[in-house]
Amino acid sequence: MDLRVHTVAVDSDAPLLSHLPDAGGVVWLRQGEGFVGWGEAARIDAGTGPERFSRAAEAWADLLESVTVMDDVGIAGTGPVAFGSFAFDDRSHGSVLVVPEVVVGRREGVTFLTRASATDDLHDTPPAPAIVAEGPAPRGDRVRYAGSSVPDVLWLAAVAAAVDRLEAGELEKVVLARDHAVWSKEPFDARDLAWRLAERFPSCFTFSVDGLVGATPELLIRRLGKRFESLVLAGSARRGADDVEDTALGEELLGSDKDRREHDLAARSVYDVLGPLCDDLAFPGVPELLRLDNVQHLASRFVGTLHRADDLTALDLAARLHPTAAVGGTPTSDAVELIRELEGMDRGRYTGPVGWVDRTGDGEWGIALRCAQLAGARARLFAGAGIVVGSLPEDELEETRLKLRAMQGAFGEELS
Amino acid sequence: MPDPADQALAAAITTPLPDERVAGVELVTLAELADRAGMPLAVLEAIEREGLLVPRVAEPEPRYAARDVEVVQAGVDLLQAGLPLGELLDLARRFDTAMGEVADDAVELFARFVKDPVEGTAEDGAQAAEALVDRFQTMLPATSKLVAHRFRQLVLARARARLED
Repeated sequence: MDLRVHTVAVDSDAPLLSHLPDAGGVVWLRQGEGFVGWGEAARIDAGTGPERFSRAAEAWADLLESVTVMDDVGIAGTGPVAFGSFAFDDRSHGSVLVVPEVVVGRREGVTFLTRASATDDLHDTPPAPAIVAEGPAPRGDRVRYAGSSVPDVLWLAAVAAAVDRLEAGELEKVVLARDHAVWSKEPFDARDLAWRLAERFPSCFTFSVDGLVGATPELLIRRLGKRFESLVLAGSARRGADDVEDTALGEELLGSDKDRREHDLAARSVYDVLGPLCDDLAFPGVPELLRLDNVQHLASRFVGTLHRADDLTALDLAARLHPTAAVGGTPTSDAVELIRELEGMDRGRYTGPVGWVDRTGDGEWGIALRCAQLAGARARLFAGAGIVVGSLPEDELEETRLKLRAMQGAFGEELS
Repeated sequence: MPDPADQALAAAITTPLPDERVAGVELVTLAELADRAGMPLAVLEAIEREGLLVPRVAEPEPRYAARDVEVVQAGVDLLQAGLPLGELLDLARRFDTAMGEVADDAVELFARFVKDPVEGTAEDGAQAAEALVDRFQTMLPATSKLVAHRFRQLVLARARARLED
């Protein structure tokens, strides 16, 4: 059954989330722009294994072969768009691309609506999107703790074990994560989480794809034509209570050998992938500070021009970059092996690529950090920390605790 | 010249009570302590770095009083009941901040209302030293008992209030 896809400009300056009628829809938002989408015109289950990315990319290319497009807007993200989320580990399930029936998008101030269906006659202009909500619904029941896959006493011991292995020279860096399960007497609504995350982290990408909801500052790759951009974040500190403390913590972070080492490994892993694909990629060398609501990060931005864009979509680039040292470690294969050995849980799609790709191969993919996997009235929240020689397990535990609190806040949990 | 009363008090503070004197106390390494408490060594190392576990002897190698195993065991009991370690450490840090202020006030009260009068009325330094150490060794367990009792009352009262909400 061939899809017909029709994009029209619409007159709306309402927040995109206010148009989303379905809690199971997709969300990709940053500073008011991006997409919301609902319904499923097509769904590609990417399966497991390292070939999950290429399997999804091929299925997407096949699907595009048979799509009839009428695009009245013609900017990145118009026409058929797939939203995806991929598992971190080759062995984990859940990797998926979804093509919604309706997408409401906004880019450079232009709002558009895309409808994909097998029956659309393309001459029939889709109706303007309705406003269905003006903000998150107040919670009827509080958020309750439901334990962790690994008690944090054992997680702390796992961090200490990882530090021993790093000190023995087996590898340079490994990222260890833990989860925090919650439940409630009423189902969690991905839209409410997205509202709160977008409000609290306006400079992050707020996403919701197939039950994975979060906000990530980490732009794995943005490809628009031949131009691409990637933002590497690794090494972090908390925000200060006032400007003086905040500046001091930032300076300390910039001057910390441990954090710089951790950051440089992550930046190098991205540079090694993107560098050969273009002539003009510079290695920034000295990271900048990126300050978010609850945490500040060391950040390196890579901007370059691909030799050619037509054979590498944004999804292909994301697949090549995954897993970066910011979520796996260095060297990658040793780190992934150590994560399997020590972490004691399935990350699922946490720390995997999440984002969108359009028919030209343009798209944006982030890394699913600071996120939760929703399942009705239950959810799993995740947080991780980069471990290098010199890491203190209790500091890493505290870092993950603070990261988890940011997500707990998005659930409407009141924290002391 | 150091005051003999101050010296005696300083010694008493280092080993607060007679039964805590090093001579009569079994000393163990952190690894042995972890083993007895059934805790990963990494957790005790973290707790030690947080300042929640203090070695009785620092040189040549840190040694801990075997009776500290009871304190560690109390922590283990809380963890086994379900409290996450990260939250417990955070609570311990906040407890230290809040109680540090009260402890400062308690020390100030001792200095003003016990130490000053004793030194002002004792016949000589030796007598003052003996009286101070004696009062200190009475007051420390008494203070600990009062604080523990009051904390327990507070926890129960707050729990009751929470249930009635």
